[in-house]
Order: sequence, then structure tokens, then C-alpha cells
Amino acid sequence: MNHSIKNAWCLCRSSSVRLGLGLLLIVMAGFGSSTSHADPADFQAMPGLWKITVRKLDHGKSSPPSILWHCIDEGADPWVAFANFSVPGDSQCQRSDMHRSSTALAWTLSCSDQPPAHGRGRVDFDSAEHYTASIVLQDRGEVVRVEGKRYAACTSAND
Amino acid sequence: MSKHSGNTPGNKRIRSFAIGVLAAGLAGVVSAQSTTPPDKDATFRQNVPTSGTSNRTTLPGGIVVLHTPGSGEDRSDQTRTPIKHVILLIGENRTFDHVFATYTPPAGQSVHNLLSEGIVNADGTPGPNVAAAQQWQASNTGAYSNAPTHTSPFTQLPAMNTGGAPTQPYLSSVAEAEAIEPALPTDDYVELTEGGTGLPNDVVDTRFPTQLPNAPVDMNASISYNDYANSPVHRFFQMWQQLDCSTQAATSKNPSGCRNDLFPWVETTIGAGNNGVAQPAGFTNESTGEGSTSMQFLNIAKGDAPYFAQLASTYALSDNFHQSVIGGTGANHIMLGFGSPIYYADANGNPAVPPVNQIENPNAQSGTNNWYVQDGYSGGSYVNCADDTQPGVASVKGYLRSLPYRTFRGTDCKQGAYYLVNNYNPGYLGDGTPAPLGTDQYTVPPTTQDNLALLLNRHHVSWKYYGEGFANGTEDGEAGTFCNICDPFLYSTQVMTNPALRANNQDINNLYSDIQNNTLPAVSIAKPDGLLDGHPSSSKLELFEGYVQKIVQMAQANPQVWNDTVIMVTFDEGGGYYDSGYVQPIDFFGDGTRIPLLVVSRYSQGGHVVHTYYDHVSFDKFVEANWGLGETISPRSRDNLPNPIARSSDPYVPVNSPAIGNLMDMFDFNQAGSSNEGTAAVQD
Repeated sequence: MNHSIKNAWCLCRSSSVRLGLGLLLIVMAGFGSSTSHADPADFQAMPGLWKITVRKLDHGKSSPPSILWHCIDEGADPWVAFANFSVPGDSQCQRSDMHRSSTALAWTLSCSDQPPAHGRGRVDFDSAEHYTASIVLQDRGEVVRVEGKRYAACTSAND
Repeated sequence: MSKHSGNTPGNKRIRSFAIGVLAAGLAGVVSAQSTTPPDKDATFRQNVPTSGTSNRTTLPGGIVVLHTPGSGEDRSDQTRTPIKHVILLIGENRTFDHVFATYTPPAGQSVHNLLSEGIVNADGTPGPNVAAAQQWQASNTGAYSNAPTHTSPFTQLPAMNTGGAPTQPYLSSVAEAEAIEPALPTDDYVELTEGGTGLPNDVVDTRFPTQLPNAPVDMNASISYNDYANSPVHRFFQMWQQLDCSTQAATSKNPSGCRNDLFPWVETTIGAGNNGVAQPAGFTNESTGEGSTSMQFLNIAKGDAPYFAQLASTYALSDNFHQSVIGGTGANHIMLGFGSPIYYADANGNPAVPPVNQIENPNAQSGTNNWYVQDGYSGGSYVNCADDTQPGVASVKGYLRSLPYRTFRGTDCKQGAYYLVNNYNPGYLGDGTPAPLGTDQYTVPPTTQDNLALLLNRHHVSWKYYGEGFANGTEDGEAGTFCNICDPFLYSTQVMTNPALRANNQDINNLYSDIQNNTLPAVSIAKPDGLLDGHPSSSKLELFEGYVQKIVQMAQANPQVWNDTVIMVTFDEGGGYYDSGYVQPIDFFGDGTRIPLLVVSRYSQGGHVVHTYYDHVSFDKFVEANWGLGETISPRSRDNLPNPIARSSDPYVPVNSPAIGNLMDMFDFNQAGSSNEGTAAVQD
């Protein structure tokens, strides 16, 4: 199916069912696999409406947080749904060495700044409805801190 | 009745009553409320008026006074029938013919289905009258048409597609299923661990024949009742085209001229919408991921839907109950709860203009055949139907104006109101927090429009909504499969900002507790989670059967409950499946196809099949009649419609359209025996 058509279905109740159950299955499967190519459903995060608070940091000093609300559904690749935040400034960064378990995502970053910057990113779920995430650069320390919390169901639709 | 009469709605209502009284005296024309043979309850209902009751005098959609629950005398026990409790169970996405296609009722009863119409044989093969279900291809370039120009019938139906049906079942063991899901009978949990397609998503479904004759497709011939299957499109403008209504095609048995003959064509040309993107290159009949899914039907004659067949043959079945909105889940649950659709509103509850990307535009993109400009679950879903210049509006209203009767309130479109005709998230989260809004949130703002909960509260009649997975407002029970768009009261400011009223939103275990402890409210609406709701692809009908069975058996196990409780079982809509039944257009928003309605109680036994015309709002009418409220939800709500009057020779078609029944003729109160039966008039 063409990707543009698939997008029309990205928010559907059947999707919620699939993600929610896929995630619970992984809870039973345990934590610790290390692949970035697993089924998107095999991730411990509950579908629904998530409030994502993003704070940018400059040498430990936090800027006012920005709030985003995301409806997370089955089609959501965890890398897109939970690890898709940018490095402050105009940095063009590439992810590599991506690792994934049922409750965490981890990667390394290479940014084309002058001089080039390197660092690491991480997302950790302490429950199916809450996570924290951060990006740490070698020479700037922690530059982004993120907290995500699920607030409600979010059926956006296919019923 | 001409739509050009210029009468006010109030006058129209009075006139409807007068016509009803006149018509009831004419030979061959009787109230459909008393035509279903055998009618042993005519005495009880002889005083049922054919008009609706009065409505509130406040402005439509205006803010109402908040009422404190529990204040004043509770009137929940003051009913006009022996029924003291009603529980409405709502499944997902099945038309009447899809479920009851080959149902044969008990002796003395008749039913309108694919088998009785000769469209299929009991073995599921095409019947002698299969041409009645013939599906056409069509052309719709440029401006939207609700009845596109026919080109030629399909020689073969497009191949079935797997769409979003799961490759593997959602759960891998009974233990996992039992850990997540509380609402099935013990023996049914294995069903959650079986039935995957074994195929990828969005490919030709090779479980079905690749060569499909132009006819309804018997699922039982290709897959098991235990298997997951795909879900067809069921959005507003698409469903209008599927029905293909034109008064040029009208007949005496089908005065609305809805031909129901463009189901696969709509599926394969636009499917479930595009969110405004261009049609992809290499577009084929399989590109929307549906093929001819809409033509699939289950085969009761070969063992499908066994529990619903048992309920139908034991209690009462309607074969003329309709989805109230042409569209999907959210819009239909809203119509059930409000008696009318809701519109995009500002903070004061007044109509406002939604973001541009959320307004429907079903006109065809340039160079395409029926590929809409803007429509989708993350796109257009609002319509300003008072404005004929808005995309798609003129076609639908032009058709409505051509009908031989005046539609409800002259199409019931409030000036400047952008009505929600598909699914958007409700304005409140379960804990009462206003939901975030914006161009990318696809959430309808909170509404202050009147609804059934407020009506009941004004009259001190108790109610609850039991949404499985609600989890005290966190909406995270049952692995996050709570259906938020299904709870009509999550859209309501008056309910969700009042802690006492908000607390009437509860979970499945509260329903079980209330049944077992004799603490049921008067009016209950219950919704399964996404696992059990019967929605194709994400659920199976057998799982919804299990959900219903557990509740029915629990009620039957408590004599006090069973003595004065009715359980009604229906669906939110037909899910886009083909149906052969008559459709009565009421206003801009519906009605749509038939959906099943089962009425289970001591007072509805015998396997009767009732042909009176109903839709979801008939439930509201039942509540108002049974508890003698003497008031409707609002001046704009469909519970103002009269009960149908129909010819005895054709009980399916009201002659006083638009009209919907109040469900009272689903019962036989004399048969069951009761101290107060037959003593009270049941009015709307």
C-alpha cells in the first residue's frame, strides 16, 4: 500500500488494540533484547494520548518547557513516537548504533556542527505510561531532557 | 408531506400527529407499532400517540442549568411498563444482513434478509434474485455526487484485501488473555489467541477466491468464524455514495430510492479517506487496502453467530433498526447520546469555524475518479451543512429536497455550525480534563448541547455509562483499549465538569457489581473494549457474542434483575458492509444501513421479528416513554420524530416519514404477566 494512503489509517481503534496488546506481550517476554528492527508493536508503551514535556538545557540551565500532545497508535514506530526530538541549535545530527529493548531506546549521535559534536540519546520507560529521555553531548553535557506521560485514550478513528 | 410547506417544526409535529390519527382510521394503513404479527400487546399500546413529546424551551445548543445529581426525589422506579432497568450493549460495525443474512426465524415470523430476498441461498451461494444486490462501477469527477453516474456493473468483484487484519492473533495464550480481559465467559478466552490471517497487511487476501462473482460473499465458505478479517470504509460522504440514493430510482417499496449498489466502488476509489494527499501513482483496485470487503457476510445457517441466533429465536429481533448517522463510531454514539450531531464550538458553546484541514471536501481531486480533496481520520471531518456552497453539501441536500416528504427540520442544520460527521476524540479526558485542541489533534471541542444524561438528570432518573477499560477516568484499563469516542458523555461540558455526573462514567466491573448487587441504575449503556467489541480486524463477532453472553447470563442468574430488566444489543453502525434493507433518510446526517437489534427480557420472548422502523434514537424514545419523561432531549433531537405509521402490506416503510419507533413493540407485556402491565399508556 502506498504510504500516503496508509497514513489515512494511522489513527484507528484496531491499531490501539494491536499496540496495547503487543506491548503487554513484551512485558512478559522480558527486557533486554537489542535490536532496532523489531516489530513496532513489540514495545512497552500504551497507546493513547501522551503529554510530552521537552526542556532544552544549556550548561545545566533549563529553558521553559515546551508541551506537545501526541496521539500514539499502533503504526507508531517507537523511534518516531518517542525518540524523535532534535538537538538544540541548528545541528544536523545522524543517529547510529541504535539499540532497542522492550522498555528502552538508546543511540549515538553525530552532529555536523563546527567542530562536529558527538553524543548519546536514551529513552527509558519506567511503566507503560511514563518515560524519560535525554540527549547528552560530549562537550555540552545534557542538552535535551524529555518526559512523557500517557493521559488518556486516543481513538482517532477508524470506527 | 412536501418540504415546501413552510411550516414551523412545531406545526409539523402537530400535523404529523393529525395525519397519524387520520391515517390510523384508514383501511390498510395502521400504526407500525401494532402491525408485527402476532401482536398480543395491542391493548397495552392502544393509547400510544404517534407524535413526539414536548421538548425543552431553551435555545438549542445553549448552556443548560447544571443539576445536582441525587437532589430531589428519585424517579427511577416510576415507569409505565414493568421494565425498571434497561441495559444497552453496543458492539461495532456489522449490518443486519452481514450478521443475519441467512437467519430463519421461528414459525409464524418473517424476516427481510439476503436469504428471504433470494439474494443468496442458505448455503451462501448466489440465489435466484442475486441481481438485486448487483454492484456497479461509477464515475465522479469534479464536484461530489452522492449518487455518482453509473458506468457498468462489475463483471467480477475486486479481490478481497487483508487491510489491517492481524497476521497473528493479538494474544498468544489463554493466560495472557485472562490477565488482560475480564469480560468473557471462561471458555471463550481461547478465541483471543486464534484467528490470525497468516498474511501481511494490505495485500490480496488469498483466503478468499480471486474470482468473485458480482454478489455478496459468504465468509463461511472461505474462512472460519474464528478468523480475523478486514474492515470496510464507513465514513460519511463515502457511505452516502455506497447507498447511492436517488429519487429517480424510487419505487413504492423503496420511496427513498437508495440502491445500495456502489459499495466496492467506493471502497476501491477512495476507501477510508486520504487526509488531503494526492492519489498515488499506480493506483489500483487494491490500493486502498479493501477490495470488496464490504460484500462479506456471515452465514448463520452454517453455524456463524450462534449465540445471537439463539437470542433471536428466543427473544425479539428487529430487522428494521438503523444506524442513525451515515458515518462511523463517534458520530453514531453522539447521535445516541444527544439525539443530534454535535458541532465545532467556541468556549461559550457557540458554533465556530474549525481548522481548515479538518473541514470535509469530498470533491474529486483533478484528474481522478472519486479521490477526494480532503477527507480522513487525520483530516476533514466537519461539514457546515447549512451552507449549500460547502463541498458535498448541495448534492446531499438536493437529494433530500427531492424526497416525497419533508426531512426532519428541513435537514436540521444550524446556521454556521460545522457538524462532526466522522470520528474525532471527545472534548474531555476521562478525569474531566479538557482535551488538547489544535490543527493536529483531531479532537472536537467540548459541547454544551443537550443530551440524554442531562434529560434524565433533570427528571431524577438514574443512569450510568459502563465503558470497559475506563479505569476511573484514566482510560488505561484492558491494555489501553477503552473506546473514548464511544462514550457520548465525554463530549459534554455539563456532564464532565460536574463531579457527580462525571462519576456516572464507570467500568465493566461496575456493571457486573450492579447486576449482582441489585444496584443497577434505570438506564445503562455499556460498551466493550476494543478487543471484544466485534469490530472486524481488531475484534471478531464471536468475541462480542461472549461479552453479551456473560452479561445476559449474569442478569438471568439474579431473579430480581431478570424480573424487571431488559438488555438491548445493537451496534454503532454497519461498518460499511452491504445491506439490502430500506433506508429512510431523516436529515442530512442519516439514517444509514440496518444494524441488528436484539431485545432480551422476560417481556420479549418468542422469537418475534419486529419490522417497525427504528434507529439509535429510538433508544432515547424508549427511555422517555418508559419513564414518562414527557420531554425530549432538545428541539433539534430526533426523539421529536413521531412513531412510524406503515401499511400492513409493507411494515418496513413509514408512510409518515420521517419517523422512528420507540421500541415498545419489541415487547409483549401481557404475555409475561405483571401486576401493572397493560395499565399505563406508553407515550414517547
